[in-house]
Amino acid sequence: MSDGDLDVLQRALERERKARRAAEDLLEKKSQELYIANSELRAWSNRLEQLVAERTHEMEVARDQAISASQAKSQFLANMSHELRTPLNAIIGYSEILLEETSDAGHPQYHADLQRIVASGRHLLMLISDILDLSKIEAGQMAVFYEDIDISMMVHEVVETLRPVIEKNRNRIDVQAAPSLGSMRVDITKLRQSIFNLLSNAAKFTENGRITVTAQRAVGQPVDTISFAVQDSGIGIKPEHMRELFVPFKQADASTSRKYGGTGLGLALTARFCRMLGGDISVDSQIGVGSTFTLRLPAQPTDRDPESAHPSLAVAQDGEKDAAQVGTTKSSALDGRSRDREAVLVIDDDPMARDMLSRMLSSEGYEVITADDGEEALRLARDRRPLAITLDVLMPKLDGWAVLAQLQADRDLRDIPVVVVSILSERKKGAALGATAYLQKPVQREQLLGALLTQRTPSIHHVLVVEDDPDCQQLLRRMLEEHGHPSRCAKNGREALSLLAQQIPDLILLDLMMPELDGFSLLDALKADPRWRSIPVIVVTARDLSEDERRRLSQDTEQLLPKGALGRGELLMALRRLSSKRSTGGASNSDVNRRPGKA
Amino acid sequence: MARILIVEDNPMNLDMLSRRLLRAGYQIVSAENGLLGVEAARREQPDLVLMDLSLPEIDGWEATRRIKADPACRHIPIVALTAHALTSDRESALAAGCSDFDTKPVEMARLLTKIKTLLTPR
Repeated sequence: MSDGDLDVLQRALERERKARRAAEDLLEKKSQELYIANSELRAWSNRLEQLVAERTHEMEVARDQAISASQAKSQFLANMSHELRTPLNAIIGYSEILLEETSDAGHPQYHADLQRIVASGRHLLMLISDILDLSKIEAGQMAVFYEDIDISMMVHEVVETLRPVIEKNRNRIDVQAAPSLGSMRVDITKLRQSIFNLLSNAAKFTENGRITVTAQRAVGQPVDTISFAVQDSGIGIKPEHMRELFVPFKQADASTSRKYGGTGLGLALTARFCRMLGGDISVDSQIGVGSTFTLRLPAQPTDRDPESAHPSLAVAQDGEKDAAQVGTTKSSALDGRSRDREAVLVIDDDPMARDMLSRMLSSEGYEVITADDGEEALRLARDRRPLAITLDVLMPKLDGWAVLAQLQADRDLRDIPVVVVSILSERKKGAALGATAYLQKPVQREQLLGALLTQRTPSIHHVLVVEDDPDCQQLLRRMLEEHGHPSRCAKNGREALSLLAQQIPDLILLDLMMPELDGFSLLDALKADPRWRSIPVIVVTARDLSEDERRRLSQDTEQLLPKGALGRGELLMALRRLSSKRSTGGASNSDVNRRPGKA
Repeated sequence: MARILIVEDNPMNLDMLSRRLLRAGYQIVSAENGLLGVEAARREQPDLVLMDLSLPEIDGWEATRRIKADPACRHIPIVALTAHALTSDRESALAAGCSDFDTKPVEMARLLTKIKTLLTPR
């Protein structure tokens, strides 16, 4: 090989080397670019996730705010209506007195004017009542009270009340409601008001005509249906207005209210009442011929759908649906199968809060006793031994925490469940002091009732504590004893099995790491034996659990309590939750057992 | 001449009710809060009590319960009066021991009928 050849080769090699270096550089650059692009992508994706989380949170907050705003609005309306009624009361009352006294003293010239004042006052009063009713329905606070009534008598009473109005427009009234219709079980106030509304509409929109009220019974299963039809020969309703008949504040058209008066609330209320009573309303009308409105109601409250027995948060969004749901709730709560009257002690220094809580409770059939300060509350608690207590925190003299502490310190009273209802958000403090539930104001009806349902006195009598550490064992035993749950102790799985063979406990508190037979093996043994399978287990552990272990425990046990966070409050809450599940009978023990830990 | 005890904290309401009942031929005694109401029932032994429900000191429900718990005056019929036209109020008033219930503003004719019925010996 000549030098020249060598040269050529060397140059070629050099070129290749250069080319390779360039390629390597390019690769490096590309991979760096890729890396950057990748991290950017990751950053974007993280950002996106964060944004989604933020938005979700914002929406949750907005939803909660909307719900409480709607509640606050309804509460405001309810209070406002009350405030309006008080001066109105005086206006109506004094004009009536004047009317009586002037006619006695012989001043007939004032008569007509005074009568106008009285009539307008009573009209205003009716509007306020309607608004109050509507706002109560929307707030989910309208209760239904069933009683047996004589159908024919009720219809005739309503007709008699309205006879002057009917005859004012020179109408003839015809009533077909025979005593043989018998009786029905219904909320008479709501039914009477519904028929009253239909009949006064008929009288208003009919002149020189005929109005017929017909009540009929249709035999059916499971219960008969009672229908009430109000037929008039009045002006009729245009088809395009039919749809809006039952919408609040919408009258057929604006000129209607000018000519005929009224708020446009009557039919909206009537429809809602009907649904609350488990029935419906229909209308049939022809312009210039007349209208017929028909109510159909069950002769007995029917227990239609126990699932809907919890009025949902849909109150604010869907008043119509909710009215129906609330109706079902009440009927199932207050018909023959209702629970006994049981007293709940409501402690609050604010009369309005007291009143609201009392109503929520009494509408569910609880007897309510109230106290406006801590000392009175403790006295009443000792005297009356209520089923449960709702407790406000911020009160003059003795505050709620002090009341709670005294209740807990009293052997006879500590088992009475206490629901703290406060404007403060001190849930932890409440639980630590022994409260069984903590609700922040404003309280929703269903929250309160839910909290009370989990308040039944514990049905857990005997507890087995399986724990090898003597200090921890002592602590658990003491906490259990304080709340009236006697316990036995085993220091490992094997000892536990021999105790289980002697007596089946209502609950097992189980440590995981123990000598001889550990917690997991004990759980296996429990599962394998039909006698033991349904005993609820609460795991108390100091150990960090793997994902797998967690999953397993959530299947086989009731709840996981980390030892570090173990306070009286947490354990007590766990016990209450458990006992409420058992006593409400909602779940059999085996169901309870399979339920995930954070029930 | 039948005597009626009105337990009412609002002076205007008290004034209106007593004037109209006087005109209707009844004798009137009054008390302005729940505690005084219970005392007046014991002391005056009226033939009937008209009881407002939202009262200071003790409310109308509690006052009713105390009157009904006292053998000296448990026979006196009590008519609850309230501005809340709520059925739940009626229920709880009846549960506390009231014989009847009416809403404010009172419809005088209706209230008089109720009073007459309760005062008629059965």
